Amino acid sequence: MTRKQFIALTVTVAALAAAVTAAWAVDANARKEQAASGGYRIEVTDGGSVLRSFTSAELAKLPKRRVAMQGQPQEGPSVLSVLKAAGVKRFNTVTVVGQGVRDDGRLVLKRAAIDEDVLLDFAVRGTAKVCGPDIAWEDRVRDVERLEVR
Amino acid sequence: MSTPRSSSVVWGLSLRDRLVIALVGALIVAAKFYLRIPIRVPGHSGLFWMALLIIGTGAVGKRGAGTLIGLVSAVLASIFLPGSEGPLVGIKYFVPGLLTDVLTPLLGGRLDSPLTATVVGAAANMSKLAASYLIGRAMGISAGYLALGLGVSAVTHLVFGGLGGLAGSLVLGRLRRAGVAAPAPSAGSAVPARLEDAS
Repeated sequence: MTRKQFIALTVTVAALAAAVTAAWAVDANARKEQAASGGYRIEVTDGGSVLRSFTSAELAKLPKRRVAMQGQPQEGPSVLSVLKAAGVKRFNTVTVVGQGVRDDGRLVLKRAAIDEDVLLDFAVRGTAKVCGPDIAWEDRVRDVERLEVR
Repeated sequence: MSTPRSSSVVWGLSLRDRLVIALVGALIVAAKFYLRIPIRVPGHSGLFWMALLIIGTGAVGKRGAGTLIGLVSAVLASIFLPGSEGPLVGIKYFVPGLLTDVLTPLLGGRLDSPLTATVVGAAANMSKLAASYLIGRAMGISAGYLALGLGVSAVTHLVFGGLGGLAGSLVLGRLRRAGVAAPAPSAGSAVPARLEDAS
């Protein structure tokens, strides 16, 4: 390796280290801002009106279930238990609305498709995704913000 | 390895080069779709993606090959894997190829060198993450949401990209020894041949 190549390698490695450090800083700042604004929440709405807004801590207190999706364990409160805690008694469909950052951000589930195995699983980034053994991998909605019942 | 006739050379690329570029570009998109490992770690697709990018770029052995592989995969991804990003997803596929072409000559031009390929793979996978973040911002998604988990994501993209680059270099070395891939650039020239040089 020539001196010039060694310098280029050192600069590249330093740039990568700087990029990772910057990513951690941006991440930490975002978490602070989110905490300051009340943290991550999931709303349950019916016909446009908010029935209840859950914090992560409130969701964590609901009974947890564990299912496998593509061989990977997923854990969290069932969608049914979240709806029940929000006071929903009857519904025909639930539209799961997410941020749409990494997926379509929208999934409509009919009542018959929702059983106790349809969960809200919390990811490392602190947001929930809807998942279940019968939900296709490409259909899952991440960064869930709202459950709209009809 | 047989050399194609000059009449089949387009933009300095032989028919074989063009086939390799098209196949690797398509394989990157196919790998992204089919080779999904359910390990809940962001950036793990870089393992296959960067390995293929390194192998394809090295196998063609001409400057611009990485960019063209990125372009082919960008077009295919925009059509077949648009997701929530729509046609903008193509940027995510194009940028790693472009960066591979920019970095490789600076680092000695030998993608069969494990060190070079690891660094190039890590940087290329990181560029994919950066492109994703910028696409999200361009789509008006809140910076806060995009930034959550970015620290862990950066580390895992770096690691998987590096591992992909390393795996790619080992396969490329084998292909070169077998005479299937283009030979490594000579010791005197750190840069691979330009596309025009072959015509």
